[in-house]
Amino acid sequence: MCRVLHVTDFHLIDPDGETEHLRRRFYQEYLYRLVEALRLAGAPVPGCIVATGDFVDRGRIENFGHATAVLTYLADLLQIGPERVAVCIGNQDLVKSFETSRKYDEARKEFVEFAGKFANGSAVKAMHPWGGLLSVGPGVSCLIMDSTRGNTPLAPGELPQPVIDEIAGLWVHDLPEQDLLVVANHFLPFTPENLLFDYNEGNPTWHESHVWVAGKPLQDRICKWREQHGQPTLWLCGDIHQPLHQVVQPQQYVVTTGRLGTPTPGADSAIKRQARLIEVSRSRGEATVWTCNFEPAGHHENPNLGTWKVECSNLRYGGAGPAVAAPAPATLVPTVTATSVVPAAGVPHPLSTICAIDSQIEERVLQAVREKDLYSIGRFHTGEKEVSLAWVSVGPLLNEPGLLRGVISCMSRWFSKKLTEFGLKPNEVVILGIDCWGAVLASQLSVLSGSTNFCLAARGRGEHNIGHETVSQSVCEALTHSKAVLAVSDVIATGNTLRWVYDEVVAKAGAEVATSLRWLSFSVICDPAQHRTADCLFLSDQATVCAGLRMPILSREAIPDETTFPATLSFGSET
Amino acid sequence: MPERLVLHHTDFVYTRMKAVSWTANETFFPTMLQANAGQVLFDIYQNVDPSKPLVVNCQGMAGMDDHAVACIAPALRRQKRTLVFINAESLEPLLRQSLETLSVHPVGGDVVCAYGDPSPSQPELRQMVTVAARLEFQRLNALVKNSYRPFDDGPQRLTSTPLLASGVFNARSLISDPISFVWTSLLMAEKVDELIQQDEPVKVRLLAVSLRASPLAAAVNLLARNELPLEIIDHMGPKHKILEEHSLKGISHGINYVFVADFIIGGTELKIAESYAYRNGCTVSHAVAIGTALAPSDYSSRVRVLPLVDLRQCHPDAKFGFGQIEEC
Repeated sequence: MCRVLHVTDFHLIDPDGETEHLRRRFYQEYLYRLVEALRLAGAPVPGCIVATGDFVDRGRIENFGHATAVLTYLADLLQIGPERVAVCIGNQDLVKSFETSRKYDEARKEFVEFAGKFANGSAVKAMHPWGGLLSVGPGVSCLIMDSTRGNTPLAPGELPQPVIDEIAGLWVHDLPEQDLLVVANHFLPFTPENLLFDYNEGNPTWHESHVWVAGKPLQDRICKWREQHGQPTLWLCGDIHQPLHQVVQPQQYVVTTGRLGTPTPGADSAIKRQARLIEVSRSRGEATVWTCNFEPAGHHENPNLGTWKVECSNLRYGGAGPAVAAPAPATLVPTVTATSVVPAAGVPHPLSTICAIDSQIEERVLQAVREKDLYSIGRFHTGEKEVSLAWVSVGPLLNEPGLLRGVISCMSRWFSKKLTEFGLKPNEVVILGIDCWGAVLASQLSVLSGSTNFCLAARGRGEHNIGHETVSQSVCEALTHSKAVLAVSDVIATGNTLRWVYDEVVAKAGAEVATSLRWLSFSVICDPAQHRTADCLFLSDQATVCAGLRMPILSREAIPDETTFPATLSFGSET
Repeated sequence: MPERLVLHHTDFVYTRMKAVSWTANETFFPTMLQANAGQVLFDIYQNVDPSKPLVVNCQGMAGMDDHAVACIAPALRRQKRTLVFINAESLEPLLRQSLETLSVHPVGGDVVCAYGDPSPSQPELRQMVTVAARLEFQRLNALVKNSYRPFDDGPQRLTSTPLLASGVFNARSLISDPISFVWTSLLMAEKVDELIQQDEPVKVRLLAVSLRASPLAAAVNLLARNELPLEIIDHMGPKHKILEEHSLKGISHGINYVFVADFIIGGTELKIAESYAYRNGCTVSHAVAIGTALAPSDYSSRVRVLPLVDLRQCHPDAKFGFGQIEEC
């Protein structure tokens, strides 16, 4: 059984802009949700990733760095090493001026460097300017083809006969008999008569610029040979504006997938953003595909809103072509839900990477906790599913002479650094002080930085407070006109409070506002060693004064019930 | 931001050195003028309304670094803008060391260091000192007035206290904006300094019992002349729900609390705080608030209530009462 995740057409234009799902500030959430949707749909974990070109848009080779980050992140989410990620070039991945003057190697130099970070550099069995044969996992070989070389820069390229002979006659013949062969081309080497659709976008010459006619002989020979020997082949292509999946001959499968990137809103298109997971079973002689469509929240696409929907089916043998789905209903469906989600395996929880920002202040905090006996053990209900077994009285802690000033100073220094790092001005950041001591620190930071601040009551989830102490209209207005938000807390235990604040902003200011902000977190105490289930992936950066104090967290199921082990503290709404 | 630290009068511009120091210092010592703050003062001198004299109130400053204001000396020679330091007793020797052209003038018990070409006259200095004392309170009055929001549907009962009110004063606007918070906190801190000096309470601790009082109390803790211990209880108002009962055990006895609040309307939170204090063998001896709706003496015979602003005078449309209240 072999499983391949197919993605294509990132078309990165401006990774620092606001309109592309694969932009720097959103791609992780976008891809995390894709993987999560697959998991929730019961899809198996793929063994490799194949990406079929147009990583950058119209020769913007400076964006290959970000394309690397996107692919690497996706692979990390799936716990796939770079040696199992195969990429092929698209017509927009090359430098047009060099291609026009037939300097093919110079035109592809940046792409080759990008590809070398993946299986194209580390898992090569054979290589030729027109293609390469890679090993991308046990029982899976991947033939990556350059379907753009020669001809004109924006149309499918040439493929000389000697190359066809070498690839089809030698490389493919020498493959292990049991291997699945994945053939990755940007342009489709199948002519319309082979396929279930005849899509031309109203342009009678559409096929000339989208079908790799020169690759057809290679495709014929490979499919014929492998069908005769009962060996499965999976053809994966990009560029296509009408995605489909089809069995063209026994165990010869074609899958084209819609674009993963491009700006929104772009030209209205019935083709949703897509990814596909294909499972090929040699023993059953069939293939199953999980198609992941990113459904927009309304009639038009939005750079922040949408949901991944997964459909599972066998590859089609015939009948009608793939239907175009109706536009999603006009109710907003934010990409982020209010329920806790277990982060995908392998993706560290943001709070588990938190570090103390000043070891001297941290030591003073630890010393004060010891000397003033401020550490309590008990059952402290601060989350819905988890219980904190430890509590630190922050008031007496920060009454330690000079400690409050020390915390404020190092918080201010860290904040200044983050403003510079993220290119933010103070008036572009809103500081949210969570509960009383968070409000104290937030107000002081506000004075030192010039940023606006608000006090928020989070204990009891607002049940014990009035409207002015929650995410009110004034808070929403401030957030709408900001680029970042810093949540300041005294102690972060389970992370549920941070998540609640985020969900409150989603609920009251809108998901679009919440997801467009860069979220930062600062706390006096946070223990990175604890396992947390609260979804805090919305955080871009986080810091704490004291990371060295163990504050154990356990799930409620792991400890005796409250009649046996009564709660020392409960804020009400979490229980 | 320097221009926001300045209050404007027809005859001069005014700033508080402690406000500059608080916002600009690298290390958190608002009572010590350091180089960064000196630079901000220089920016104000050079750029904010340079046609008028600049009055700098040094009240509450404990000292200054050598050369903190040295950058101003060349500007004095170049611009010849009148510069007046009032309440400068603690800083006079250092100011004169850095700015040799300053002359010292006693004005009504105050020490004033001034530079001008020509030097300001005694009546001019006296007027500056008199008017400057009122400017900050005028500013605070305006901020409090702007924080008032009438209820859309007519008088309603307040959450914290069973009074009918025509609207609500929301301290959020005074806390959220950093400059408003600076002016408010400085005045509250000085009020606490005054009561400590006048009444000399012993074993003093600041007490805040609500979300919005917490930042104010902490600011007073950091700005007051004597750094007073701070106790925050989450929370007794506006809705009374104490969320950390377990940490209230074992509190020391014999404490004299200075209750810090944003606004005291009916006095319910103050009453609850008094009960809490008595339970632990302590007292609430004083209460400092941005504003009160009633006369201070109406709240408690045991607690000396010290508001910065009288809410009824600040905003005549704000009405409070138990029965029907006059609609505005």
